[in-house]
Amino acid sequence: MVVIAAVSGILFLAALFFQPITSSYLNVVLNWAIVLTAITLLVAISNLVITHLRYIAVGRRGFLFSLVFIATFAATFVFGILRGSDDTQYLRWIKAIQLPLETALLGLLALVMMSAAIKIFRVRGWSILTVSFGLSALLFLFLNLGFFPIAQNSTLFVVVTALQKLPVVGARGLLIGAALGAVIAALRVLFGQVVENE
Amino acid sequence: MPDLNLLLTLAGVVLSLMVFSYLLGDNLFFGIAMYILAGVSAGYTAVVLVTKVIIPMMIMPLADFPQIPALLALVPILFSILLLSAMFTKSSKAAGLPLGFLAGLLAALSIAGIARGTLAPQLLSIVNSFDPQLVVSEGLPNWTAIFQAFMMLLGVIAVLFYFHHRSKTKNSLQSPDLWLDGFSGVGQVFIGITFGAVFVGLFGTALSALIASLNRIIDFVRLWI
Amino acid sequence: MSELADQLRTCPNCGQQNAMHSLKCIRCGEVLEDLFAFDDIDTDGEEPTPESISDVLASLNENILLTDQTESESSETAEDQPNGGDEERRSGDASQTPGWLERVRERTREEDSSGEMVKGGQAMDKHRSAGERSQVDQAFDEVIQRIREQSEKERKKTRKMETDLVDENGVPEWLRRIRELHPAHEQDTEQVLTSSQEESFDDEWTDEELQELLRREIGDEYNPGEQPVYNNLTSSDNPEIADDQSEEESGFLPIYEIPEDFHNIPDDDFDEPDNTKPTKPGNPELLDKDEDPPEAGNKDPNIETESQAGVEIQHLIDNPTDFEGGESEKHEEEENKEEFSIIESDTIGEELEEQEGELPVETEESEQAGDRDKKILKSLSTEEEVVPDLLLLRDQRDRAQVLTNIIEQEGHRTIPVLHEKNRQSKLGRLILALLLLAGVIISLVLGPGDNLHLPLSLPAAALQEKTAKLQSGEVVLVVLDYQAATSSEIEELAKPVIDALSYQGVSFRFVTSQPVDLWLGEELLPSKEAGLAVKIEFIPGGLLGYLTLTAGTSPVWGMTPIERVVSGGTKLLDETSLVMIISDSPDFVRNWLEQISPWHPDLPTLAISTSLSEAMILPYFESGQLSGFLAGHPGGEGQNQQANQRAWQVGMLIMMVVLILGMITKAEADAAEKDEGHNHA
Repeated sequence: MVVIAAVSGILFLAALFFQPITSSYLNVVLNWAIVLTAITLLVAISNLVITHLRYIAVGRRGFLFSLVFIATFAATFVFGILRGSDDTQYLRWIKAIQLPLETALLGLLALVMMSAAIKIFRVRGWSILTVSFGLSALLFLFLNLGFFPIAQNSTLFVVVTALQKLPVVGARGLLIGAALGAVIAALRVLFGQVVENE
Repeated sequence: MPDLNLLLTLAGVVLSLMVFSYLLGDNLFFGIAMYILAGVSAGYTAVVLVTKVIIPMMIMPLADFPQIPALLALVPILFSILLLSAMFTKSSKAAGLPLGFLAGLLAALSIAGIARGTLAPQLLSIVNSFDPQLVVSEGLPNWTAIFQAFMMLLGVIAVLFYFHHRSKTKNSLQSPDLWLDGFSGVGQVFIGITFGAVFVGLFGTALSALIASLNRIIDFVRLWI
Repeated sequence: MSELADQLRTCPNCGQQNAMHSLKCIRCGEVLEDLFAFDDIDTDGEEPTPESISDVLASLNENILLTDQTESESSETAEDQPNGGDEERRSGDASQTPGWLERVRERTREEDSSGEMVKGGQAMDKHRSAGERSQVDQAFDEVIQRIREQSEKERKKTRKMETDLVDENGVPEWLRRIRELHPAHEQDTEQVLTSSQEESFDDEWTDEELQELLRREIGDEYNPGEQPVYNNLTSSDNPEIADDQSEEESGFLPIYEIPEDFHNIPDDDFDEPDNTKPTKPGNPELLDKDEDPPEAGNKDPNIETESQAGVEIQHLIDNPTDFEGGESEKHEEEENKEEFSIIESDTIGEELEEQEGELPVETEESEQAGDRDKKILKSLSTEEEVVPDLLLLRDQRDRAQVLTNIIEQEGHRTIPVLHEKNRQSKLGRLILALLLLAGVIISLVLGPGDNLHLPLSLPAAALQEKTAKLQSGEVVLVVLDYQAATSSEIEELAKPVIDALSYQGVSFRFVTSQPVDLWLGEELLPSKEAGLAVKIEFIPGGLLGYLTLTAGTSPVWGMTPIERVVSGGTKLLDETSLVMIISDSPDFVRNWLEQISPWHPDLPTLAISTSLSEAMILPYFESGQLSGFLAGHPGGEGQNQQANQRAWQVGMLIMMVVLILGMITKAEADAAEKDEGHNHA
């Protein structure tokens, strides 16, 4: 697998660099990759379904949830295949279930973040990182309140604008660091130096 | 027969309340709600993949057999068969071929994209902030711009140094120098500021979702008042 | 190493190879030829006896030829040269006497002086060898005897009764020893024995007698009818033959149980038996390993059958115990072993009946005495010391018990502390959540509230500027990539922008690679009032699909599958004036800027995202890769029209308060710890 990854990666990289000549090759290979990605995703979903079916067959603790999953999956899949994925009624039902669930889940995150905010200093203690984090959070929370007419005061506006640029420094450093790490990891794949977990 | 919209709204409200029941602890209702979400999401994704990807891109080109597009379409079919074999055999080495192909392709894309799309522009942006046209205004130095440029350069280097210094001090037993600790501290300050901004942004997004969800419930309740 | 060490000597008797230095054969004990041999002494056959040599010498002296000349010569030269004269004489007579004779005479004279030594040495050797021989023979016999006994034990694996160990009164030896240990019960046993002897003192064993005997020796637990007797089988030197118990008789004999510390290690047959230890079948503590099987007509072929039955039973219970079936005269004295094993065999009783001179048989009237004896045995058993191998087993047993406990604990919460739910933290989290919920709900109920006074951010201003420059008829590619959870925030930001663009007469093309955006993005579609019927197109493969349509070109031989699915094919971005990314993930924006934008560097890219992505997208705006973006609350006049502003402000305020509260509580906790530290100091 390592050799295949290295060979295919090097060939594709070369095709990217010589793009005007190899653009059709790129087109074909990327089509293969798209189909393969879709199959991989389908295999993952199938594994999930099979796992839950196994839980039900064995009678594992919590198989009720597996029953719910299988039932909803089967209903969604069967109706989608029969009526088509663009059917209006079908999409209404999907929207009616998925939209409130996901929205409520993200709203729950806001409630959980309240307890995280009160614990963060108790858990992490006082350090440069936590103090700067706390002060920055307070500042931006205050700026987002919109209580004060900042835009009307030029000095205040300049100060606020400068303050809003402060996260750029850290974000840029994080982006460059993450990018360097990703490039090194990708180069290791191309050179066949993938580290396998023992 | 009740209005379908009302029924769907009721279903949405009930599901929202089931999710919020997590505040009382992990319970049956929350679990059912999560597994309903997982089932619907997985089912709909599978439907879209089958109807909009597999059939039109893998099966339908075979109709042109034995033309070149049909022959080329056999390659992903072969890859798919090898990938499917991994489902039935625990230690299937055949699945390594398509997965290796994908891994190599993604690695090559990463190298090209990161180099062109992030590393070069971001580093050039730091350098370009020292552009004379920016740091000099009307023949006089623009101290604000200079200060911002230096802050940007110092901050980025300090952030990168903090991660490097942190990994190094974790592995070594030697006590680091004071100036190294100080420079690492500067990096921590900028990282803390960024994390604070990200924290507020995340809370803002979650708060918006919470407001929308509660609004839906309140509107439903108002229907019956 | 000497060469002699590698050489072997063959015994003339048995042919066994022996070492060169050995005096006797290691196999048969035959005296081997001497290690050192004297010259001219016949070593092949028997040792030359001193008598034979003296006879020879005497005959030589009587020789006529040798007498005259020797006497005359000897008188002349004897004074001068007592030793050398012999030689001269010898030489003078050499012409007349043969050389060998002369040499013999010389030797004789020498030997006469040393002959006594030889004789003495030979006599000593003889005496010594005789003594050694007897000792060796004795030791050898003992070894051989032990080997034979062990082999018999292994073959037979049965227990024999003591048959011959009776004193002058007819009391068996084992009983005598028990009485010695417990004189209190002596009378009863004597009475029992006496009565039994009086009533039925004959050589024939009856079933009752055998049963009573077993009961007396083993104890009250014996019950051959109710339970397989082979459970009680143990390694024993004194096997006791069990009678063929009938069901009626089994009632008065108790069930015998195997003790916990029962082991399968065979006894050491070579150890000296401890005759003071009363034993009990089945109780390893009582087992006397040193005892040998009793001599009870052991040459009787029926015993072989009996032992075979015992072997079968032994195999049944997987109890590879040894039973001494052999006999030896030497071990007869040591056969006062109180341990018995019970063998269930139908033929044993019949065989025993045929034996004569067995142990005295008890009748049913001696049951009580037997019970008392059993009690004695029980009491004695507690006084036994545990042999070392049993100690080892106990240690192993303890370890096995620990392992069993560990295995039983599998799957159970062994450390309850780790699994205890912190009710206090759950309550605190609930209170904070209820606080936020209450604030937001009250705000929603009260109404929108005042306007937000937020300054327009630079990226937002840039976006507004860019979109304002679009002309009618220009195509804007709207890339959708957000989830249902963030749809409320995204739609609040994106909808006004799209409406404004549609008002400008701009054409749209909505594409997405997310399946949910196919129905989610319908909220963003331009209103039908504008006369635009726009449909959302699905791009398979995510970013790979966008890259295929951007970087790839259509091959000469035909269209690729994706070109058939997506209208326009690889000219997705060719006719586009502006790309607007609507995504809730900063990673998608970053990936687009890394993979897609470099193929069309002149194509401006805008982004509409959530407040979460603002910090991470800002560097790309600063670097010029993004022409503008909207995230969170960008400020400006548009903010005034946003609903739920009061709820937003209340939420932000509550979070500020909670954050400050966290800092204060931490400071208080640190102060309290410091005070405690000072107090302790």
